[in-house]
Amino acid sequence: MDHTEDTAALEPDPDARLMLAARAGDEEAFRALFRKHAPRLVGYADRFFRNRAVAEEVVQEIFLRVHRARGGYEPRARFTTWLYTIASRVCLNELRRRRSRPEDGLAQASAEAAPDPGTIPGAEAALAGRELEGVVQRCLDRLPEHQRLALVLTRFGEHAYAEAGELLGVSEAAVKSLVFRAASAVQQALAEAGADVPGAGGPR
Amino acid sequence: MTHAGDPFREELVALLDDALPAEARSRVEAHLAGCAACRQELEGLRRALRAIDGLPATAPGPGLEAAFEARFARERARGLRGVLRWLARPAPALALGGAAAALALVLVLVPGRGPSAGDELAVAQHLELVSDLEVLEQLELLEDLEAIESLGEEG
Repeated sequence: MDHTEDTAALEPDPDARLMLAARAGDEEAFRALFRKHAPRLVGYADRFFRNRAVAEEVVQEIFLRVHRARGGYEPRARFTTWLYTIASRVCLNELRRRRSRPEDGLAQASAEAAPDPGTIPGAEAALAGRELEGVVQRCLDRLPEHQRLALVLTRFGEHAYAEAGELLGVSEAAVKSLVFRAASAVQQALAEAGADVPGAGGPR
Repeated sequence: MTHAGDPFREELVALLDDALPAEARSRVEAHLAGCAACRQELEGLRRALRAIDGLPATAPGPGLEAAFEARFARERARGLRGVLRWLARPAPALALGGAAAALALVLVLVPGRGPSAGDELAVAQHLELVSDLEVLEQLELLEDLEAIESLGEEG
């Protein structure tokens, strides 16, 4: 497909300008991109690994990849679209690598992330923000892996369903189904925890 | 009447994510207009997605930038060593590197100008040298770039 409007639709993107400078060899521009995007990427990577130390390692790897790929960078899409595609690939590859090497396993991190299933408040209790977050996070931690990953890619990586499908090696329709099941499980968990009242999510 | 909602349930999150093509979207919306159960489900899913989006994000520790700076320095040193190794490779006949290889390739490819065996050997040697230069690592990057290019097309 040939979309001639692609370049015309590009808005001035300061990140794209920094990345073009980095492509031309400006390491300060590259560092500026790291400082700007690494913190949020740690949050993103942590959704995959549920372990901050691992997330920080992975984010460093992501930026090394960005640096190695700089020569091929073209500001065709938003810079963050490019960045998060690399980020998601690195996260998924690292996740697969760790799954295939149990000594690097992440089971412990997941266990730490869900320390107190006994304290889920009863249906009568109004859920405070932190408790609500606990309910949602524990639910995500227990989702089947593909459901969880489809949700993470589409909600936190801002990938369209089709992109998430490419990253996961499944169809767009499968992503739709996975995301639905994941959201449905969270809805159920909220209902069981007594948070099934309008606006329970609170303004954010 | 049986509830026709089930085939629509899986569309609801996609509807909220604005991920349905126009035709499917109007079909789901038409169904929603007449199905209280699906409207209720839609609201529940909307709240669930809002709660997911509202999860706090893990912030990096204070050492991240310094740790990266150290890795980045190693990376650059490695890259520089690679270039130096390549320049200092024991093949003086190929000292012109890319240009010589390109010329040799042209000689190989242009019909009617039969290349000597020496040219073919030179190309083969050069290609081998190139493949030493972390090309394997680059292949993974190329995959990234392909994915990114296709993203750009959807732009």
